[in-house]
Amino acid sequence: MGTLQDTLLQWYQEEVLLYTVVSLVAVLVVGAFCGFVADALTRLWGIGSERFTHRSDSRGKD
Amino acid sequence: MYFPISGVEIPIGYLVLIGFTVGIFGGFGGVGGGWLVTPVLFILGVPMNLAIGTGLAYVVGQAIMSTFRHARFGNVDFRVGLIMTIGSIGGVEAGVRGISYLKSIGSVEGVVGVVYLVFLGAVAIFTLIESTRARRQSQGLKTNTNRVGDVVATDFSHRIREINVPPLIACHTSGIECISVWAILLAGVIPGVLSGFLGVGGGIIALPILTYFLGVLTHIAVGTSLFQIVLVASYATFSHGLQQNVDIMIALVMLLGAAVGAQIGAYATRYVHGTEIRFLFGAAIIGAWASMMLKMVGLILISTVLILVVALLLSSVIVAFLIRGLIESKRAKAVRLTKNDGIV
Repeated sequence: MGTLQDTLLQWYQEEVLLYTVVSLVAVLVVGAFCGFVADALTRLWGIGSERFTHRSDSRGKD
Repeated sequence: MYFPISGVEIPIGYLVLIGFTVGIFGGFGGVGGGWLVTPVLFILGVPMNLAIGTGLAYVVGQAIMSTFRHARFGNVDFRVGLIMTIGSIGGVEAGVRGISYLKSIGSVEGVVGVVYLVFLGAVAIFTLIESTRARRQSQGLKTNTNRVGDVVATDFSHRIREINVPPLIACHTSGIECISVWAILLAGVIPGVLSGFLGVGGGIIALPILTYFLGVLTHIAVGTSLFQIVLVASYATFSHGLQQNVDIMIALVMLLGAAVGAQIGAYATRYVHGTEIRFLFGAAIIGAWASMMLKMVGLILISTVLILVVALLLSSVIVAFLIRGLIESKRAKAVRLTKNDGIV
């Protein structure tokens, strides 16, 4: 962790564009990965495949 | 853990908990949660300009998680989202330049703090008025809005649709038969300015704009808003990164908690009444507003405790709603099965 932090700090101070690109790609990849995994798991377990039907009003579809 | 870019020491568990709590809100209300993360980071000692950029980086990750789920439900209108984004990019640029200018003259924290107070106060008042109106509607009283399907179509949204400046397009996913592209572009500018200047993803304002300004179906507005947040917040994060306003390590640690929280929040929406969602939303904004006010008058410890208590309390309520809904739906299923057995 220390080495990663040091590398990032060095990029932050000297290679601003590289640091920015790496940061943006990191949050996009982590977010997409988590979304993909959660989606795959819920498909596997059959959760959330039904539409909004319970006690819904303005945001529901019933 | 020490974060050298921000120059602050924050326990990892603390950041994961914040990510988890804000993630629940994000999945629940269809927003990025930057409006909650930025003041919390500021209160924890992160400089305001870094709190804004880091909050945006966190919003990108959390919004993409939630967009996955809504896209699966068919709740994302990519056409409206992309056009709104073009308008937002101009707004973001103006917001980011405003922050950089304030940083150069050394008054970034004071000005952004005041703008935050005004902005959160205005959104809180709007939420309260809107909730009251919705309650009146449900009681069958006359108001100046008409309920059409699952959208509250205002006179204003009807007028917007009557603007016939070409090019005109149809957005079938949103339930819009004909609308001027210019109206959608204009709808994107305001969330863009807020995104760049205040470090919020724009969802907190994009959602009311989509529903009340453009008249988009509410459940589509939630998904489309999140999709738009991914694009706009990515652009804003990039701009803030170039200005050295992003601490990526803090954002990534918070995303660990958000990965779980966002899923819990998204599922909770299926079991909660719309007025309950808006009430909780309003309560959270008022909590953030009060905390920021206390911080500005120097009561730092009390403001930190307040924002954390409000966030934990509301996320507990959302989890409780989810558990209650799951139990009720299980009971309803059991009753249906019993009835079917009786018929057979």
